[in-house]
Amino acid sequence: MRENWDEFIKFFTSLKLTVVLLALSIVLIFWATLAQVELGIWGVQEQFFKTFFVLKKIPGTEIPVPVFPGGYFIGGLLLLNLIFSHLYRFRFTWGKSGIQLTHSGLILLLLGELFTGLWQQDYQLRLDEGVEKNYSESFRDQELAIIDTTHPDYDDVVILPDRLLAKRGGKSGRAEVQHPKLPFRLVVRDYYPNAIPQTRDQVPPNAPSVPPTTMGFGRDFTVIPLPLSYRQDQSNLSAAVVELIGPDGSLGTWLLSAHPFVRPQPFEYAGRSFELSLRFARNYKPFSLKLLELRHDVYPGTEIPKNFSSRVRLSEAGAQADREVLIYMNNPLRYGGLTFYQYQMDSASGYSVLQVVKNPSWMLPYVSCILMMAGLLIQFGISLFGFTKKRSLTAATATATAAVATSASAQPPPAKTAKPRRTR
Amino acid sequence: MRFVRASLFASTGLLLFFSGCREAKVQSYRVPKEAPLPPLSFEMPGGMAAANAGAGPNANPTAQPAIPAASAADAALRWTAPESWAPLPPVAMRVAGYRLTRADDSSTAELTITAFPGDVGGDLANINRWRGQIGLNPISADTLATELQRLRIDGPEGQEGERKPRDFKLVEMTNAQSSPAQATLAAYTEHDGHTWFFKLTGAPALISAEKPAFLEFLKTIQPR
Repeated sequence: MRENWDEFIKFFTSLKLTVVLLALSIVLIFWATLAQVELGIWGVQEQFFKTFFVLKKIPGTEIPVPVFPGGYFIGGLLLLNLIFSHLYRFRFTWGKSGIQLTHSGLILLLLGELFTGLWQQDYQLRLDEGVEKNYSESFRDQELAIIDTTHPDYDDVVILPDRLLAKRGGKSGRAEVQHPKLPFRLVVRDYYPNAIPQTRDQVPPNAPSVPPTTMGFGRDFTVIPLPLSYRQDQSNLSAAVVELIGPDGSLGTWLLSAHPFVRPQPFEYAGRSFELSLRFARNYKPFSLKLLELRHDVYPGTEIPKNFSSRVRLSEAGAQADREVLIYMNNPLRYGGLTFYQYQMDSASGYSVLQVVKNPSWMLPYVSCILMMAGLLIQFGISLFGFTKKRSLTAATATATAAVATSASAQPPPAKTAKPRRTR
Repeated sequence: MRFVRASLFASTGLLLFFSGCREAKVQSYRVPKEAPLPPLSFEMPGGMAAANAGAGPNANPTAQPAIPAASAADAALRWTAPESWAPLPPVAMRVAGYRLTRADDSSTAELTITAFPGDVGGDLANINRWRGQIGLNPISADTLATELQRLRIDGPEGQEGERKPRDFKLVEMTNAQSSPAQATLAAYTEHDGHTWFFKLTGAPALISAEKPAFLEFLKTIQPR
């Protein structure tokens, strides 16, 4: 057992491992840079860096196989390598304290990147002038919402994330959901991660479209599946065919699309009113923002933007917060653990889009940079101090030697020449 | 010893792998009712209405969509339409649309621009679909050659003075027997794996009068 442990430690403290991991990371970054042409920044992040393995499908099949270690794998092992090396190889001495501090900063930087990858959430909040909102929406993730609108004051919402819709399994080959808040069972019949709605009479023959559903939008409209887009400026709009099944049998099939054109589809069942919709995943907040004014200023006589700003009213009932905030470039609003950046604006249409970022580890890169800077300063300071000390010592010795030599030359030569003191 | 090392390596990797897995779960919550969304325009060619148009107390068929759907602004092709063609409000599922009006008799035509992945069924199927839309009988594959014109049009001048030609297929059809009489002038081209349709439908006299402008319009089409 002891032998195994030693072997384990030897492996993780190995400098060879560091070199191999750094070489792998160079290859990964180079490959990902080339792949970015096809996949875009989001696709590359997901497929190369925020993953343990780069997966490729076996040609002609849908079976993914790992072909190269991903960012989490290489970064994780580098982190372990660094930590184990610190624990087992390095011994703390004041002379090396700067290096220790620099390495601590590096460990913190790697951890910060890991935590950011795991915990950071990016949302967007589109505010039309005069409209108040208490939720932001994901840039990419979508969700199926079943909304019980029966009560006049509130809505009860049941949410199925798109990852669940895409999941295969169940009798129908897709997800089946029976939630205690719903008087029916929901069965996902089909799911398309990117599809464009189209009226049935406009769909060319033989185009791959979805057959009519029995209820709602899908009776007159269909969707045409499209390949996934990885472009940063494009969203994939998913679509799904779902069937609701009550105790007495099927209530019908619905075609849902995340396209903004397609609004929630209402229906009544068991004396209750419901709506079905596929939408960008929402993140509700305990406070609301209302867009009071948006400004898009340009330099006089030009179309060159000078300023984009949104004046919003922040309201939170319980916290007694009710204040106006001006959000503009490099001046985000930080509130409730979230940061609201000015992201997009269309002053002609009267709406502003804020980027909402939640990153509990946002301070870590700053702290790690300070640690690394302090470590380097200390280490160089120690070296410089040692160097100047030695130099002044040398100079003093040289002066003393010269003085001795001068005084010696003024006196008659002794019978035996004194051997000068050797200096380093 | 190598086996032990490999096992330790693999177990650490698996530990890291599974620690990163997050399961998608069904969630439920209660939220205060939000202000109703402004209803969308469901103006579609042929007067078709969406399944949920008019549903609910806030339906307003004249309201504009809050977010334009497939907009010309982010389409893969761009073009310059004659000033006399009035752009239609953004309607989902269609890249762009224009209304053409004849001043003397107020007859109208509508140009719709759509794009679909692939070859969407081929020439015969597309032509018969359009024939069906204006009440004409389908044609057979034998007569396809006489119905279909092939055009190679030089595109607009590029930055270095070059003109890149683009191949179009052009079809014209008229149903004088229908009431009112209807005609279609359509051109389609392949771009980046998609088939782009430029279809002008309306009063035959107007379509005939606008054909030169339509052909000029095709010359302005270029990649974004």
